[in-house]
Amino acid sequence: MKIFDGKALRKLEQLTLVADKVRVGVMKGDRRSSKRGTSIEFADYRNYTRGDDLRRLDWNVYARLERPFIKLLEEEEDLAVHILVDTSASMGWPEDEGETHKLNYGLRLAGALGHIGLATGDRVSVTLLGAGGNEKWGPSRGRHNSLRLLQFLSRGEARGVTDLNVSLKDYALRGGRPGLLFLLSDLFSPAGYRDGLNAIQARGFEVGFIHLLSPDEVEPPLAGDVKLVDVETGAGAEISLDSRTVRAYRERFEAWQKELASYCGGRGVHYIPVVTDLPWERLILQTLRARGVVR
Amino acid sequence: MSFIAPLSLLLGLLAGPIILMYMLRLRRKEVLISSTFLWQELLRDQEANAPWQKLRRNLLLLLQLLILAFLVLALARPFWPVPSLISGNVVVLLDSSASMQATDVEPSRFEAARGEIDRIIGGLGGGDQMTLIQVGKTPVVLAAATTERNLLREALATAQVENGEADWAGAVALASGAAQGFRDARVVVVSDGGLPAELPTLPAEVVYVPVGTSRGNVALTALATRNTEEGVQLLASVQNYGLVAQSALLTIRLGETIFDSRQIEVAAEAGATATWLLPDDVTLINAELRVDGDDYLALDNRAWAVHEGGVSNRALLVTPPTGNIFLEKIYAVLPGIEAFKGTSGAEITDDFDLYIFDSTIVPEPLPPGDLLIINPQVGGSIGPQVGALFNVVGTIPSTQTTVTRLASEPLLQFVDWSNIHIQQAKRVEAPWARGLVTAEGGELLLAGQYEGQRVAIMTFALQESDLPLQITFPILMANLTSWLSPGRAFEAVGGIQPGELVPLTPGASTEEVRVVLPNQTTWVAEVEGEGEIVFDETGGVGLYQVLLRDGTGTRSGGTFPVNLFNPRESAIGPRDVINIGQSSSEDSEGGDVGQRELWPWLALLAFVILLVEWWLYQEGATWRPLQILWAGIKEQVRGWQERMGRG
Repeated sequence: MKIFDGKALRKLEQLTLVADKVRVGVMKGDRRSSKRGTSIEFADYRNYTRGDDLRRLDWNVYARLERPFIKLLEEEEDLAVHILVDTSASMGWPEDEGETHKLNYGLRLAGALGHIGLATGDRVSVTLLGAGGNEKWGPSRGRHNSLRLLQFLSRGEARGVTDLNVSLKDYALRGGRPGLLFLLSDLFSPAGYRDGLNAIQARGFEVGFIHLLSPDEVEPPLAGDVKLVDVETGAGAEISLDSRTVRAYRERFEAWQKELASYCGGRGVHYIPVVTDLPWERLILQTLRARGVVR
Repeated sequence: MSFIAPLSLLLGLLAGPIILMYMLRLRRKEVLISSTFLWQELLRDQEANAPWQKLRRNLLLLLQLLILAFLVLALARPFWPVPSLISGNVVVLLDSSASMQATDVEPSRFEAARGEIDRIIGGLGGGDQMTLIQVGKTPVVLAAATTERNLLREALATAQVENGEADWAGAVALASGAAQGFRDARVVVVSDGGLPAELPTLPAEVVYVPVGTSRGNVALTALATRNTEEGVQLLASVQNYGLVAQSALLTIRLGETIFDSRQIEVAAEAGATATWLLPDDVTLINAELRVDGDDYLALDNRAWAVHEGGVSNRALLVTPPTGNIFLEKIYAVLPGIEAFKGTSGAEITDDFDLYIFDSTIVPEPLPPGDLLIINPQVGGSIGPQVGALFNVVGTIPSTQTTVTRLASEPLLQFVDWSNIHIQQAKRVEAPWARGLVTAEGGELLLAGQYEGQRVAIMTFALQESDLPLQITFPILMANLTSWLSPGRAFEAVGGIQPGELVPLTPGASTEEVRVVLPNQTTWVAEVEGEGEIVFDETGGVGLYQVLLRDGTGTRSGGTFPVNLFNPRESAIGPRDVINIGQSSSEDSEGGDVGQRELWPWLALLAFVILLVEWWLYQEGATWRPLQILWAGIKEQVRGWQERMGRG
């Protein structure tokens, strides 16, 4: 699967991922940190105390005032960017793998976000949350890794049942340095997602949740007496569809989204509902910018 | 509503399998979706009141059940019982005799009968055939063995009530012929029951549908004149057929002027007569009856009479004192002429139409009528003047009486002169006349018009020939007489009833007969050959004037009246029972229950629903077309309401 063309990549390189709180990084990155650090950006002075690195003493001030001052410089850090893509069978919808295919859309989005991160020197790791456990790429830094990331993503396949709770808890334990975390899922997980989300947040991740839905899930084009078969679980639901049932479905759907939004809002999670008929460039260049996720 | 085949309703049990099939959800289509996550919650709500909710919502099932219901109903053949309606194959006899004009039911009995038949037509089953016969003077088949209701109704609309008596025997014969074409046919008689006693038996069940309620009728049953010593006497008789005594005003008109009005009291079911003395010159008499009480038949309240003296056909036979036995005999039997005998020398009065001078001198001036001169005589004081009419210039001896030429004239129709022998004839000169029979020596018979008078001359004495002994003689005399004095062209002994045929005998020379009807229209017939002409348009009551036209002009052929002097029609009381042959039929009202079958409508309805179901199925959506339909219906209803509100 070819995820991007060159033109799209060049557009993406002008963007930067934004996290509200920069986490402590181990490498010097491109990002300003609230910590004083070793960059060339001046921050403040303070009195020298014993044990301070003499290299950071401001000799010019000492010569003028004959008192030692330590020049405080802003620390510049790298950002750990985690991108989690749900690859459960329900993500492989619609069946025709067209433009609105949720998993393809999600992988493309993951690639875009990963490329932005790599291009701005962030530490990017991408994980596919699958039925047989999490499949991880990275962490890696530097834009030269973009191609490898895209190659990794193109292997993504919708399959099996994913329990988001299990996958997220597992990631919370093994995911490494907390940072900015994007979760791309349709949230059609029978067991729910809250426990997993709690575990992730407890580890100090800042979560952006991109809720992917195909158009026919928003407005089902169904009628008559049908047996609905879940493509993920194989569970069947017999239903007689008429205007009332469809209206009831719409109501239920909207209530569900509202509940998600309020839950996420209450926990400082960026909730971004996306219907996959929205072109992904517009999503990144307009919607995510408007939501302050990229700059 | 009842059913002809109620057992078919058991087929309604088929609804069970249909519903079962739906409940077993055999027909569910599997649809893959990304997740039933959201649907599951919906299902939890929905399944709480399944399966009835599903049934209710399933339009297709509902439609299928409806189709089944209608089909089963159609198979059960439901019908509305229609009272007093005749079903099955029927032959309808519609009485259109004069009594059906009675107005005791609105607007008239005939219209009521028409309405009854219309109801029968409306109650005809799908395959039932009807033959419609109008029973008038001549029974007419208006519609023969058809199932087409429109055709029957059109035929019914053409039926006309007549003024005369109906020919029931002919109608029954027609009906039995028509009924033989059907299996178990019925003959329906829609009538007021005025049927004659002796009718042949019908090979079918007879149903009698009576019309009429009252017997109230006062009728003029006779109007006649006769010559008495005091003068012309008119006799009118009035009959009251009702059950209440009536007072009637009888008005007599002579021509156009009122002669007398007289109040006549008639007891119930009794008659009364009145007489008048009329002036001698009376010809046309009209009587009109006006009744205050129940008198539902207007047709017999007017009558006409013609005094026979009016069109006089009197002939004066002038013979020598010895008389002429041949002429006397022949004029005694010739129709339409009344001969009087005179003798030569006696005074001749003016009031004859025809003067016959046999071997006598023709007086001068000529009497004002037509002349038949036999064996002309010249002499006495009038000789020279008579020369203008004719001249006797000599005699034709018997050797020269062989006939050489017979003119081809109507006057000589059927006249065979081949065996006639004449001893002696006179040679007569009459330039105005043409020779009809010419012998070697001269004319034997001449005829022509002289100063407006028709004159015929026979140049020999009957006694001097064997003509009177031949069969040709009465023919020749009849021809001559009818040419000379046509008189009445008809025989009307005993009066003419409406619808009766009147034979007209126009006479030999007549070329055209016209009859002026009471409604002032003219009936015309050409006379061809021997022709006795039959005049058949006597439908209306009143006076009929006959006009005869020949080569010389138009003459009156007399006037005859047509009156409804018919007790059977005037006694309008409806009968409860009629007898046709051996069988008698009573009033069928309420006895017969017709069946108006409904199955074609039900089948049609089922078919329409089938189309709707098919359409819904093809559309593949149960709600959108229905919504459109429903919106359309609502809009329509709103439109109606607005219009109603405005109205």
